[in-house]
Amino acid sequence: MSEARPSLGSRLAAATVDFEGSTRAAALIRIGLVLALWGCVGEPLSLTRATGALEAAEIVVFFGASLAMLVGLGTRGATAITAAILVHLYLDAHLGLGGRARSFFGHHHQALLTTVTLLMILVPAGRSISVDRWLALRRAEAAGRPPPPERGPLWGVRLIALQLSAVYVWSAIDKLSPDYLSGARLERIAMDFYLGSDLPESAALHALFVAAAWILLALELALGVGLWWPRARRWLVPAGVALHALFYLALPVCVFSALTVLLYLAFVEPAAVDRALARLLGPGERERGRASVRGDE
Amino acid sequence: MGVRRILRIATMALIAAWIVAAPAWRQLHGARTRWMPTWDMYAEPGLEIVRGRFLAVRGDHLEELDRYALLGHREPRAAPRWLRTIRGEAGALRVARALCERLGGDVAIRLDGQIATWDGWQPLFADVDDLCRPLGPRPITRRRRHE
Repeated sequence: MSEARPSLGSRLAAATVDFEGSTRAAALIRIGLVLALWGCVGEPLSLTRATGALEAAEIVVFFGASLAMLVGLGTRGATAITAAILVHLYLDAHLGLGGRARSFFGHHHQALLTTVTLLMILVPAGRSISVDRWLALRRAEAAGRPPPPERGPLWGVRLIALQLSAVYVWSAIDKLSPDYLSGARLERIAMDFYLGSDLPESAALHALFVAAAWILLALELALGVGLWWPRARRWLVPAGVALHALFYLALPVCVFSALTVLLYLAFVEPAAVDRALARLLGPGERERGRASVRGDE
Repeated sequence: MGVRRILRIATMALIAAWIVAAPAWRQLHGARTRWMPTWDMYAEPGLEIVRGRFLAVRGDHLEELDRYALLGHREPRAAPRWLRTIRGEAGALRVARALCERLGGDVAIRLDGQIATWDGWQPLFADVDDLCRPLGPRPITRRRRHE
């Protein structure tokens, strides 16, 4: 007798609000996110830029909290403090709250970093690859209990994936303009960064810009929608990595490309990340890894 | 269904709606608020950049000018930025005026060129016979989105 197929509502819930799994992929996102943050704000958010005691204190707290987030010590609290400071800096830059002009914090990559850090508060990213995990193992060992599982609710990771989809889709929508579709936008970007006002008058070159514009538009749309499907992901992830590598080479994109590629992890099924990690660690580690996720180590 | 689960569903739905819909406020409706995010990376670079050629008019004779050579820069890469990357009407006029000074008073300078706008390449100074003369008030082409 075949089992009744779950309703659409329960399948949707299982894939969103009730979504659970291994927290290792989330931990990798947490670590990469802090490194991207530091790469982005390391120089402009140093004490040399502080204009007063309050700003200096904010900078010290930011680096303390983000360091705790990186190593996974009091992870959720550290993430919340880091996110709160980023939101303050972002609002400060955008709305002039507090009267400080931190124009360095008004760019898209900084907006994405801030949003993702905020969403990480919802993710139990400290349950794996963290000091919190190490402490939990010690406590369990001392009490003679089995170690806590490296599992948790991952609906926050789904929101991070949705955020990246939105970035791609809205970026594609922005390109639905005569300026972009005619190739003119890529031409003017190339002129701004490389050629100056001397764009060669060549029909072939213009055709190349038009083709590049349409390919990029199609790829962004495909990435925005297709990354949710495992079959499409197999092709889209390498294409996306290549695209962002090209951006990184050709344009001053700061950490945007690296961050975007890191966030591809949010689309991958957590079990698949576990399998990949186990494969990397070798045969002996595979079963230990699975047991650790289940909590019967 | 427990309160905790209802709260989780409501929170997720609200955040998801914000992520998906908030950029529309500025990107589609042209609102000027800074409270809403936009994801329009690299939409602005190169706006107002000018491309084209400067022409000298002597009677019925048109001659394309090499602005670098005329202004004493053999190597374009070593030329000043305002000469290499011409931006906006003011930038084009600056180059034109420098050429006028260099060539003297009996030559008219025209620009056969275009300016980068949000609507694509638009003709620039196509109706001006001589950029060496003072220009009257002129309508300015739309440059930015939602202008």
